[in-house]
Amino acid sequence: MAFQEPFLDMRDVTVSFDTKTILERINLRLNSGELVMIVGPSGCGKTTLLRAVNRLNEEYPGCVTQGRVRIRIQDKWLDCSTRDFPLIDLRLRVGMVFQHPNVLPFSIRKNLTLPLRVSLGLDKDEAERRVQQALEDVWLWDEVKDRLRDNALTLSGGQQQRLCLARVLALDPAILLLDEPTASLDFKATQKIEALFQSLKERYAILAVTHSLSQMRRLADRVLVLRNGELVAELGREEFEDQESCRAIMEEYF
Amino acid sequence: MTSAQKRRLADVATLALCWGAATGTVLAVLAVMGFLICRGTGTLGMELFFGQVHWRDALTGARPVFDGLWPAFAGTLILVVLSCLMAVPVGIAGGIYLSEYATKRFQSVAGFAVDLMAGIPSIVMGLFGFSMVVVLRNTFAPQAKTCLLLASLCIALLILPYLVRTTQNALSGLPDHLRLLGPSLGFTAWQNTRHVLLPSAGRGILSGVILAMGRAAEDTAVILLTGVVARAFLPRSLWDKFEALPFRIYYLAAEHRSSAELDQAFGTALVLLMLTGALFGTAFFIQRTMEHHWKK
Repeated sequence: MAFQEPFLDMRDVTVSFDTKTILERINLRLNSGELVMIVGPSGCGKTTLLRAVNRLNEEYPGCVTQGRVRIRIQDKWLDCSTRDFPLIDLRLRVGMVFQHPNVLPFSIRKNLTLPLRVSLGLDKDEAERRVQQALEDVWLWDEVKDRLRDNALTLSGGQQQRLCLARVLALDPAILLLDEPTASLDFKATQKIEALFQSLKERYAILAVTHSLSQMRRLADRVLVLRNGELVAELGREEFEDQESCRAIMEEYF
Repeated sequence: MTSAQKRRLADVATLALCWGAATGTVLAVLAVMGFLICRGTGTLGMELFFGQVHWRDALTGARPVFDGLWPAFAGTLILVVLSCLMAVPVGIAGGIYLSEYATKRFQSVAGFAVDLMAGIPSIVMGLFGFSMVVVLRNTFAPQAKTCLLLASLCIALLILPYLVRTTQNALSGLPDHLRLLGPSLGFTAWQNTRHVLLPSAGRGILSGVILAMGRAAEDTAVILLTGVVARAFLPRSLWDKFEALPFRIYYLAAEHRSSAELDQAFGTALVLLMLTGALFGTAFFIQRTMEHHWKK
C-alpha cells in the first residue's frame, strides 16, 4: 500500500511524571492513510505515548514532556510541542477515543452537538448536518436516527463506543488516537468496530494501542513494540502477518 | 474454631452490626417524627399560624400576628433563602476552584481552613456577627444594629464550608476518563468544568446544598446573637429584627406555662420540619430541571 506523506512526526519525546520517566526518547512517524498499532506489556507507557501526541498528559500536574511533536496540516508542518501552541487547535486536529466508552449522560444528539457548539462554535444547522454525517460514518445513523433525544447511556457498549468515535469524527480531525477502543466490548461489537477502522483508515492517519495480537494482525499496517517506555521494535506487515512468526516475535519482546 | 468458621462469623457479625446501625438510624428518625406528629398534629391549623388574625390580613401584613408562628415562618424562610443566595454560589465556586484549579499545596492548606471553619461552633459565629456590629457602631456606622441581613451573612458563613467540601468532593470523585474527555475534544478548562464535570457532579453538589439549607433553617445560636427576637412581627426590611422558627420553638418550650403551649412548640417544630422538607423538595426540583435541560 502506498502511503502519503507523514502526518505526524515525533522526535526524541520523553515524558516524565514527578521525576519518574514513563517514555524515553520516542521517535515515531505516522503517514496519512496508515494504521499504526502500539503493543507492549501493561504499564509500558502505551497510553502515555498516545496522550503525548495530543498533549493530554499535561492535564496532570507534575508532567514534563521533552522533545518535539509535529503535525502536518495543509502541507505545513506545525510544531505542537512549543509552550504557546494552541492546545485547542491541536486537540481538534488529533481526535482521541478512550478505552471505555465515555459518553456523557446526555441525549445522543447532545453528545455530538456539545463539542461542535462549544469547541467549534457551529450554528445549529451546521451542527445537525455534521451529526448525521458522523453517525453515518460510524454506521450508527440507521440505528439511532429515530431516538436522537434518548439518553446515550441507553445504547449498548458497542454503540456507545461508535458514538464516541462519531463525536470525534464530527470535529473533522486529521489524526485519530485509539486507546484500546475494543477492550470493554464483546466479540460481535469488536468485529463491527474493527471493520469500521478498516474503512476509516483510508481517510485518517490512525495511531492505536491494543492488547490483542489477533486484532493487531487483522488491522495494523505497521506495529511498534513498546517496553519500559522505549520503542524496542518496529514491524512491517510481512513480519507479523504469519501467526507463528508473530507469536515468536512477541514472545521475544514481552 | 477453624479459619473458615472464623471468617464466616466475622462476615455475619459485620452484617449484623451494619444492619443494626442502619435500622437504628431509621428507627430514631421515625421515633422523633412520630413523637412530633403525635404531639404537634393537633395544634396544626390556622390558629397556630396566624393566631386570632384572619390569614389574608396576616399574609398581606395588614394586621400584625401576635400569637401565631407566621412571622417566625416568614423570618426563617427569608433567612434560609438569603443565606443560601450568598453562600451557594460562593461555596460552589470555591469547591470548583479547590478541585479543578488549585495546586496540591493550596488544596491542603485551604482544605484545612475549610474543615476548621466547618468545626466552628455556631455560637462563635454568632459572637463574630455581634462583634462586627459592635465594631461598626464604634467606627463608621454608629446606627448599626443586629438585623436579618447580618444574621443571614453569619449563617452563610456557617454553611459555606459544607458547600465547598461537598462540591470539591463531588468533582474530584469523577473518574479520570470523564475529566480528560473535555480537553480531548478541545474544551478549555472552564468549558470542561461547565459542560462535562458540573452536570456529572450535579447530584453530589445538590446533597451539599440540602445539607446547608437544613443547617441554615435549624440554627439558633447564630441568630440568637445577630437579630432574632421573640416578637418582631414580619420583617419590614433587611435591617429589621426578625422572628425565626427554631428560636420560637426554643422559647415556647423553655417558657411554656401550660401543656397547650408546649404542644404549640411541637406544632412549630413540625412546621419547621415541613418547611425544610419543602425547601429540599424545591432544591431537588431545581436540580432535576437543570439536569433535564442539560441532557436534552
